[in-house]
Amino acid sequence: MIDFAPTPDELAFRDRVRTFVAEHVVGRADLDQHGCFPWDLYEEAFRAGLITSMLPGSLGGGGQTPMAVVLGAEELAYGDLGVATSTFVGTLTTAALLQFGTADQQERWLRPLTTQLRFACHAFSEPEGSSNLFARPASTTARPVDGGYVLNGVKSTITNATVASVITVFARIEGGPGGLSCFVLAADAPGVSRRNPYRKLGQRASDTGEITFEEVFVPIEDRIGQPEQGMQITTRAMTRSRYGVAAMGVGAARRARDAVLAYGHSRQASSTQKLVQAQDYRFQLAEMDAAIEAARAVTWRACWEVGQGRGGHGTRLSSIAKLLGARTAVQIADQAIHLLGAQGYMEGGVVEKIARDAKVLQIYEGPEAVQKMLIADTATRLGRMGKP
Amino acid sequence: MDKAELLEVVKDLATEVTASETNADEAATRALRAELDASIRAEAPLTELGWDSVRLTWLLVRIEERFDIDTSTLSLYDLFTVDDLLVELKERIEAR
Repeated sequence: MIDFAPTPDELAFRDRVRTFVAEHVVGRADLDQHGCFPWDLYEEAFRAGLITSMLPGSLGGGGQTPMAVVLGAEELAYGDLGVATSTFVGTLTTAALLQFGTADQQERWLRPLTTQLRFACHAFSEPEGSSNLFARPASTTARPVDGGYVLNGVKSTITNATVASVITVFARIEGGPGGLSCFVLAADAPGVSRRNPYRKLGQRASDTGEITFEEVFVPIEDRIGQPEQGMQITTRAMTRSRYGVAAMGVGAARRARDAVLAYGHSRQASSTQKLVQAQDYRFQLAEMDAAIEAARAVTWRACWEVGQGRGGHGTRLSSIAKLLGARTAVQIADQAIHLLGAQGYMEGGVVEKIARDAKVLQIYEGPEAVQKMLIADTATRLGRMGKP
Repeated sequence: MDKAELLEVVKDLATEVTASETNADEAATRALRAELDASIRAEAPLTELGWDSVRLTWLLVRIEERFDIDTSTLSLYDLFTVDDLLVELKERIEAR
């Protein structure tokens, strides 16, 4: 019998995040402004143990289980998707170092993230081909030199790029076979420059920027894993992060549904009937509820499956969860705008913001096409036939 | 079957996949086999093969057919070297 029920400790963490959201996130109008990174809010999130929740206690982190982080991501996304993104995207860097880094690397790069508010970012995408480094060699290069490598290149649309202290970066080793290798470095290393050239549709409380590497020396002890191991490193890191994106989609969808529910109770459909009593409105809420439950169920299943380790369906299910969680958020936000009518369409409302914020869930950490490619990788095997 | 023998079978099947894609004749297939013999080394990263995911998936389908095994829990992106793949395949073959 597989049991996905969260433990009391995991539920306690969820409740902490829910309280945090009510006290610090909901009602803050400035989270939707361009160029405003709410440092004060992130300081509060750091003090509440949210930003380091996924780091092990042995490194000074919160030591929360993946399921607890999933529950927390849903709650924080309920408050604001951008805040949830910048809070939990560090999972990518921490997962890479926790799975492939040495004890010394973990001590040097992860422990400092727990002593004061610091962010980490995962520099993967490039302007020439977005995140599709599966299909083409990386433009960012690592030139082998005495004692290490020299990096050159540009990484674009990187979450937390301009606010991070630590960067994990993926590059092609010059003269090598052409695959990816992974490195970790300080964001203020000589030759690293960062800027924020974007004006985004949504998630404005999250930083998104560009990082340029010009003759940046990285010592060999800061290469993560082996040369050419970068694809495996990023795949495993994203497998652990994508079901978190799905959880964020569930949280955003829930918030949009709640707006519809509140609206239905506050409006009259006729002189004798509230809107929420009208059959079409009720059925649309029922559809929303069903979609949210389904997305949450597959998210929890993916989290469980990834936790089982090698030989399972972790990669496939994490991509399925991300595909469906993101899609659910986008569809329910759109449905909510429709149901709220003019109020849903007006700037400054909850659901129009969720619609804008949610769209990028279908884009970052691999768009739908990448998720489908990862799912198809195993779904097309003959061995799938006759299996649940 | 030990890993060295398994590697030879994988090379044979990789040759079949490539030959069927290119409609290679017998001589071209032999040349392909020789080429793959040099490029598919156990210690080499899978990315070094330069194969895309569709091609690798097709290779795994051929391996499933040959050994009557299920590889559907095996994500190619989760592996690093050819040897990692051989370890996974060997386990499944032995568990039949």
